[in-house]
Amino acid sequence: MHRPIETIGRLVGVGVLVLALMLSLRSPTADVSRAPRALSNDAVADSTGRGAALELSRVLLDRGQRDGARGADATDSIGQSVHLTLQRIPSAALRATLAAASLAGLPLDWTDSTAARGLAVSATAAADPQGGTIARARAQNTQPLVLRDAASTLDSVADASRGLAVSGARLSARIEARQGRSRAAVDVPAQALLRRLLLFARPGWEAKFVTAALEERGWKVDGRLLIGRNAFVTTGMPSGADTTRYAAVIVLDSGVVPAEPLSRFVRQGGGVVLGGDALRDAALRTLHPASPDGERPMVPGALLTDAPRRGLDAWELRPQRNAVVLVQESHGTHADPTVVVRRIASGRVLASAYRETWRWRMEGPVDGLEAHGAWWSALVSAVAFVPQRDTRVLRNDRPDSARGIPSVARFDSAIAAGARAAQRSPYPGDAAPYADLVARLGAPVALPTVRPTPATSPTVWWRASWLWFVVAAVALVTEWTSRRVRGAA
Amino acid sequence: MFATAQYESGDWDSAPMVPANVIDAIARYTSIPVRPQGVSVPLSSEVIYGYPLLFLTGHLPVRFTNKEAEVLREYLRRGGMLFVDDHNHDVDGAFNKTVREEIRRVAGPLVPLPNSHELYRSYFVFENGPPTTSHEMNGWGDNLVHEQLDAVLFASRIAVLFSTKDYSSEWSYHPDNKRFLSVDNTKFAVNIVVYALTR
Repeated sequence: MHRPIETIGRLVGVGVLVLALMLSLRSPTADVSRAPRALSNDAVADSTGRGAALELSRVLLDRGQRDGARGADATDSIGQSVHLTLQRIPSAALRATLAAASLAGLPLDWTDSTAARGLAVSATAAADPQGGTIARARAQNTQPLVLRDAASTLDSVADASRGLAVSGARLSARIEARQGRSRAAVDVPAQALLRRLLLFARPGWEAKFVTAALEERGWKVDGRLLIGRNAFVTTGMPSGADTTRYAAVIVLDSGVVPAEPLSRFVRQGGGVVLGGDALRDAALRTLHPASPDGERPMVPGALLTDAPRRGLDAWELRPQRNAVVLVQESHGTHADPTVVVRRIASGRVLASAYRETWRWRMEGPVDGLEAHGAWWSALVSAVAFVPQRDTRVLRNDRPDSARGIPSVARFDSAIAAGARAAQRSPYPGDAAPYADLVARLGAPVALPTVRPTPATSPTVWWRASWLWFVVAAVALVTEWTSRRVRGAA
Repeated sequence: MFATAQYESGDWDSAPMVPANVIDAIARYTSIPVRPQGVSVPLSSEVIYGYPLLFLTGHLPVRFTNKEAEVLREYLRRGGMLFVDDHNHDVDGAFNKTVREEIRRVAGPLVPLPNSHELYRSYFVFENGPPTTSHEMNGWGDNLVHEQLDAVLFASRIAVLFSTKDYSSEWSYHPDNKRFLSVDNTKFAVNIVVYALTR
């Protein structure tokens, strides 16, 4: 009885030992079919510039060979990720290469070991007939931030996280943000393509001087002024409110414009400025950014002070929940909102609390005329619809008539300048390489603590050293058991 | 509110019924809110800045004081409009000659206003330019029918409108008497006011 058991025990022990011997003699690289598993989660250490390109090429070639050797489908290796530890921001060409590899299905992630900081700069054309550019910069941390153009420093702040914005009529061709060693730059855009304004009001000094103020600032204004029952006086050539013709609509009185076309105009992306009695127009209630709770009388004599708008009659505004207060007036312990804006669909609607702003121009200080014009132009600019320039036109070298493009595009030097700038830089992201890298590969990840981590993978169980210990232990226990059984016999 | 300019020289109040008649015409033909009575404002005071349309008339020679010239110049720069009418209806009259000089000093030279100007279409349509007055037809004054008005333009806007047609006499009657007219002769006043309110 004991002998068969002993024999069986010995056979098992010897078999296990033979198996262990075979496995230990077998080289992992000898079995090509198992290679992809071994290379899962490749680490391309210290990989910036040519080093990263070479490492990445090597990994991709290895995978290709392995996949080819086993006749595997290419997608078999897609699931394996590649990790890059970047010591500095890769060149534009390498960023493009990495992005191409990522787009081709190779999961890439990266750890930020650079000294660069997340830094963003933008330049947008102001919606102002007098031109100008609005440059904004912002960073992730609180280090000093400097914004400059090719000529000189424009502005700087000690805390970059709060951002920095500069408006200037004549910013030179390229704007750059600097923070420590990090830099980001962007070209100054072409001037915004602005359309006309449409004014709805009753004939009066407010309508007259709002029109005059805007025209003096370069806007083109069409007016439709209600002068009697269904009788209008027109200025310019007014037509229906539509973003193909108008950038914004200004309404200064109640009952002068139907609500539906105005709502449609806003949904198209157009801007609306409501002033005076238009804020009391019940038909326009769905558009109102704020409702007038009462009248705030003017402060006598304030028109000739440093705060001339206090000398104007105004509404006390109560902003709607989704509205934003752009301007407010402080009165001791409290502040009254005077300009409130609200987004509706693609458009914006602005409410101005002041009722007779023409007095600011006529009865205000010496610079009241210019200040009144700048004020109204700024209100309109805040909501004006600005169409995007068609980039297909930018690269149009053929005669316009051949492509059915309006001939005016040919003579627009700003467009031509933009086209030349676009052709100069094959890598547009080079202006802000860090942001470009994030855009292409995603945000950086933390440095992996264990690389690679095959122990948890069921496909490589046989490579775990603790398993060999168990095997040896089982063999020894089996041998010991066989001996104990033999003695008992 | 219709405002008449007071100036130190001359007879600024020679046409006292004109404001009431113009106000009547505005109320009669439009829905523009108007105050029932006009005001007189001194040309030497910044108070005129509160009245963006000013009416100025007279028979006698005009000589603005330095203060009047200064205030009027600033008034026009800010966007005010001055309507001047020669109550003499006489191109050789003292008012016409002197006030032209004063306007040149303050705002620049007067130039003929084309009869196609939008002033003649701002409310009623006057195909042939400024309507003829009965005083022109009666041979009073210089015995001429003036075909055009004159103006000083600031960036295509009328800053000073100058008439030698003697609307001061033509419109100086009680509004109740309009019922005796086959054609209301104050309609052109509506055009001037509407133009001032909209351009």
